[in-house]
Amino acid sequence: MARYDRAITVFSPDGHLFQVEYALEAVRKGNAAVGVRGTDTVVLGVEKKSVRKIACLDTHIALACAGLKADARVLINRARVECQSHRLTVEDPVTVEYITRYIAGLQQKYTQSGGVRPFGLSTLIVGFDPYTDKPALYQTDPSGTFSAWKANATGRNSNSMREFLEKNYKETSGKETIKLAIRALLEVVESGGKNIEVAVMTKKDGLRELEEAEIDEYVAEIEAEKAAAEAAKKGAPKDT
Amino acid sequence: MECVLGVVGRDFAVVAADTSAVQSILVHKTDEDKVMVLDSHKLMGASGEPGDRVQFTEFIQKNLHLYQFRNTIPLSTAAAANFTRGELATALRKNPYMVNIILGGYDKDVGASLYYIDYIATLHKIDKGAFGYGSYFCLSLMDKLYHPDMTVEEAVDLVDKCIKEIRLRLVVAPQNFVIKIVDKDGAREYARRELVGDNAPVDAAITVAA
Repeated sequence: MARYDRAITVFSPDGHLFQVEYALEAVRKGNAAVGVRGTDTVVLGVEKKSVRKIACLDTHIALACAGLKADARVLINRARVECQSHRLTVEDPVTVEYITRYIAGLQQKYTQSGGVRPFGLSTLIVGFDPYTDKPALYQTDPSGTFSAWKANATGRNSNSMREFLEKNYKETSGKETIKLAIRALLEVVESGGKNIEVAVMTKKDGLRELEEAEIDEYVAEIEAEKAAAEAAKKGAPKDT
Repeated sequence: MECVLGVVGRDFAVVAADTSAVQSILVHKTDEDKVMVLDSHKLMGASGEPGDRVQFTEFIQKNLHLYQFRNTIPLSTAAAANFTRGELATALRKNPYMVNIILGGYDKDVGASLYYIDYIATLHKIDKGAFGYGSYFCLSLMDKLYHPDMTVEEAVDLVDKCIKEIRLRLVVAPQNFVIKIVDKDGAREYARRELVGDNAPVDAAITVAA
């Protein structure tokens, strides 16, 4: 019987796990995804290609990812089963941190097991804590590390999006949170409802995917604000 | 002895069950809800071994939810009934679940439907049915009084007549019942019928004695 159990992810002499770093390359080539946390809303936005990228894990948890979509299906399926299994055994819904820890743990396992390669994706996980009602945003990556964020981006051109968010992030709620997420995405994606997918999660209504027309409305608002800001900048020096 | 019964009306199904939890000569509680809301448009009334009842109905409910998260659409009532029967059948010759089920649901394309699933994995699609010693009385009443396309009032009246008969004629009769309904607007509790316990009307005992 051929042996399929030798370790594939092993250390290099200078302490790198190249397979994990190569997996991060796969993420860097994946579609752009952004997540923004507000006071009462969390928003996920992704660059739209053929495949639906925002998945519902439970009534109060959603996930977006960048990287190998086929790997994503496996992780998302395991996470969905874990959400229900948790409800069955302890009669309580998972917290966002719990399911993030679970997914990250799974990603880590595949960097330290025989015969397997790491998952080629980073995830953005959003949801509401069922006990504190606070919104949360977490990110995981192929190495299996995870952390909480106020806003973050992954996938193609994530550096530009992150730069934008670092400059422009402030505590927002409701529509302002949605606008902030879309503005970040528009930095790297061609504008228009048909190029981006946006999902909004609120405590009351759970996850809601925005319609193309709605996204176009937000984009129009954003462009108008940008134009007004430009005009104000040009107008002010002339007055003095 | 535990009773579960169900009736199909015009675009709705009613599932009712007693709410007693009994162990030998002790009544643990009189408000045990045995009709589980499986999802937005399905009800599962179950009777039998208490541990198996809770374990099995919760297991079915969580698997229905998982299906919905994986596929974005819910399972139909027929599919859920067949899935339930399949699980009972698989466990039957290893570690059987001693649970009898009346499953009621509403689907947009099919309307209301009711399924009879017994503990040895018999599956029947029915208009009216009942489990337990109470069924000896309920089924006869239903045979006489049921007709297709009943209104909610007529169906609940039939269920009330069944409850009255169970209370009267069964030697160790359960006193309290829960009635749940499922229609196009979803599955929900319709009413309770309580003669004993904290929520029973103050003069209930007097009425029964007279």
